[in-house]
Amino acid sequence: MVTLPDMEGIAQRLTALKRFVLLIGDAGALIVRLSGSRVESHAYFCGAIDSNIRGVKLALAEFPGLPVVIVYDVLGQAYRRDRLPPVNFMDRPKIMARKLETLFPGTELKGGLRLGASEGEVRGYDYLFAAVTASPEVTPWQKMLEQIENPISDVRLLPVESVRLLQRLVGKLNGGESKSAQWNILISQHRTGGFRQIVTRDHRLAIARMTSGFIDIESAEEIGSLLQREIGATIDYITRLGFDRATGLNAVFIGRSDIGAALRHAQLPVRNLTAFSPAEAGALAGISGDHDESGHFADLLHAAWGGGRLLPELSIWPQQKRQQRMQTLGRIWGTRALATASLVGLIYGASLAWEIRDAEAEYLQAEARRGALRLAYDAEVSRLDAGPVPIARMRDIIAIHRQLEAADVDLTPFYSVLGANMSENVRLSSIRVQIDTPPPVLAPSQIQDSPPGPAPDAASVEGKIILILDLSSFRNAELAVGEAERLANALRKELPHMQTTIIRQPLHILPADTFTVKPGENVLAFTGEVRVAEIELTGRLK
Amino acid sequence: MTGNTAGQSFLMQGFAAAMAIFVLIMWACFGYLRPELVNYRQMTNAALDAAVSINAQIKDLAARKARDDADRHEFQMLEKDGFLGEQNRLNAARILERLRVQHRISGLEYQIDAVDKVTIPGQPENTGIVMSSSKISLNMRGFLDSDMRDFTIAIQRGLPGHVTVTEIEIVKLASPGNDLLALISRGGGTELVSATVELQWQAVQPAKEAAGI
Repeated sequence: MVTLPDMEGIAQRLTALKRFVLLIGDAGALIVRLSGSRVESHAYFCGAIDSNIRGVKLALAEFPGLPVVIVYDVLGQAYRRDRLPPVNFMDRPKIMARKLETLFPGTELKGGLRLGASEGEVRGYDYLFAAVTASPEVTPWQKMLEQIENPISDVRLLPVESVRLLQRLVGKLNGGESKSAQWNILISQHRTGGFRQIVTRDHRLAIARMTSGFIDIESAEEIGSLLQREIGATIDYITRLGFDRATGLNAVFIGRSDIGAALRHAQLPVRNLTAFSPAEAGALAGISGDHDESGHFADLLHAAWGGGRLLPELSIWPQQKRQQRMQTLGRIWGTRALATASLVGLIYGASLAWEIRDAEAEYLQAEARRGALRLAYDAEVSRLDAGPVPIARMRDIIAIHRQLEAADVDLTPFYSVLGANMSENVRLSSIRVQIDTPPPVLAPSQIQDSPPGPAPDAASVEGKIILILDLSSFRNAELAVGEAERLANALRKELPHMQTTIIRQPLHILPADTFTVKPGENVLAFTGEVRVAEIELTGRLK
Repeated sequence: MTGNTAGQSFLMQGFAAAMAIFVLIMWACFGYLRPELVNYRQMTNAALDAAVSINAQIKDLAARKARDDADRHEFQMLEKDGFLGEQNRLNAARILERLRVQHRISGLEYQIDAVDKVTIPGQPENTGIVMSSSKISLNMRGFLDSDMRDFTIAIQRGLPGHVTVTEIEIVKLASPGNDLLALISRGGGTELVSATVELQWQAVQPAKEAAGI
C-alpha cells in the first residue's frame, strides 16, 4: 500500500520543484540546490564570516527566483512537549501562538507539531513545541536572509525532519516493516556541527542531542570510544523517558566508514547498529545527484531530505511570514494558472475564430443558393403572372361567373311536377315566377393565388311562384275547392322546400276573405262567380 | 527587502495583467466569438431552411401552373362567350330578332334599360370587379307557352355575357276552341299565350382601366 510519505516522494519526483536549502549549523552552513530529490549542487561555508556570507549570497543570486528552505541544526534548539486543549480548528492557531509565546517568549522562530491525543483523563492533544533561539553563530545568517532576493519558502528543524529519514532507513533495514513501540537512534556526522543524535520512539522525536565533532582527534577508535560514551549518556537520558534497556535500541550511524567500523567494534549498548556512508544512506533515502566530496558528512543528506520535502513535519517560520509566502505563492500560481487558462482560452478563441470563418463561408454559400433559388422562383412566378390580366383578377371574374351560373334556376322540373299533378278538369291560366337572385360577392378570405372556389350552393336561391287555376269546368264549388286543395297538397308533397299556400279559392272561404251569401243563393252551384283559385309557392327554388 | 518589495509589486502587477488578459480573452471567447458563431449558424440554418422552402415552392409552381392554365382557359372561354367587355345592344337586338323568328314568337316588345355599373369589392389590395348590368324587359305573345320558355332559354344562351331570369309570367290569352282552331287553320289567330319576362344581362369589365376606374 502506498503510504503518505511515499505519495509525497512520488509528488516530489514528479513536480521536481527547484529550490535552495540552506542548512545552518553552529560551525557553518551548507547551501544545496535541489531539483525534486536530486542534488544539483552544494557548497559548504565554515563559520559565519563575511566572505562565507557573501559566498552564500552569490550562490543564491545565481538563481534569484528559486525559493530557499532554511533548515536549522544548531545547539540553540529548544523542545517542549505539552498539551493543548481541544479547540476547533479556527481557534487552534491562536491557542498555539499563545502557547508558543508562553513557552518561548521573545523567540521569533518557533512552532508546534501535533503528536496525537493526550493520554489520561484530561482531554487534549499532545504537541511537540520547538524553537530556535538566537545565537552569535546564527544571527549573521539570519541577517543575510533579510538581504537576499530569493524568497524564503520555509524554516525547518533538522532533527524533526530527519525523524522520517531514520524511519525510512530503519524500514529499509527491516525489509519495509515498521514496528511500534520501537526506539531508534540516528547518529550522523555533520560538518556544520558535530555528531547529531536523533532518538525516536514510535517514529516520533524523543530527544535530539548534538555533541562535539571531535575535529582535533584523528583516530577513529578514539572518536568511537568518545561516541560510545555520548550514546551511553543518551541512553541514560531516554531511560528516564521510559526506555527499557531490555528492549534495546536500533542505531543507525551515518558518517566516516572507519568511525562506523570503530563503533561496531566498540560494542555500543544498542541492540543492533548499522553504519552507512552518506552516499549509501542517500541512495536508500532516494536522494540522488551530487554527493559530499569527502564522503564523511551527512549534512548534505539531511539538507536534501529535510529541505526537499514538500510538506514539513514542523515549520518554525512565523505565521505572518508564512501567510505572506502563501499569498506570494498564490499570486505566482494564480498568475501561472491564469496564463495557462488564457492560453487555453486563446486556443479556444482561435478555434472559434476558425469555426466562424467556416460558418461565415457556409452562410454565404447558403445565402447565395437561397438568393439564386429566390431569383429562379421569382422568374417563374413572373412568367406565370405574365399576361394582360392578372391571374387573381381572372379568378375573381371566374368566381363571379360561377356564382351567377349557380344562381340560375331551371324551372323545367317545376313545370314537370305541375303538369303531372294537374287534373284534366283544371286549366292553368297564369303562372308567375319571381326569382330573388343573390348578388355575386367575392369572398374576403379568397386568396389571390388560390383557384376560384366551387359554385355556391344552388339551394340558396329564393323565389315565389303564383299559379292561377281556371276551375270553370267545375259546376260544384265544393269539388272545385277540393281540387285546388288537392293540387296544393300534391305540390307541397313534391316541393317540400317551398311553402305552398292557397291564396284564393273559387269561394271566399279563406280566413282573410269576407264570405257573404244572399238569401236563396246556392253558393255551391257557382252562380255568377269567377271560378278561379290561386296557389302561392315561396321558398327555395334551388 | 527592497528587492522583495519590488518583487511583490512585480508579482502583483503580473497577476493583475494576467487577470486582465484572461478576462479579455474570456470576453472575446464567450462575449463575442461564441455568440458570433451561434449567430452565423442560426443565419446559415435560416438560409438553408429558406432554400428548402423555396425549393418546395418551386415544386408547387408546377401545380400552380396547371391550375393557372385551367383558369386561363376558363377565362378565355368567358371572354369568348362575351362575359367580358361592353354589352353590344345592336347585336343584342339582332339576336333577339333572330330568336323571335326561330321560336315563333308572334309579337315581341322589349326594353333594355341603361347599364348599371356595380363594383363587387374584393381583396383589400384589389379594386374589385366592375360588373355591368342591364335589365331587359320582354313582352311577347305566341302560340305555345313552351315557345315562350324556349325563347327565354335561347336568349340566356344566345346573348353574350350572362343572362339571369328574375321574373317570368305566362298568361293564357284564350282557350283553343273550335272557332279559334278554325281561325288558326286559316292562318290567323296564333296568339294563345302572352308572357312577360324580366332578365338581368350581366358582363364584367376585363380590367380596371376599361371600367374607367
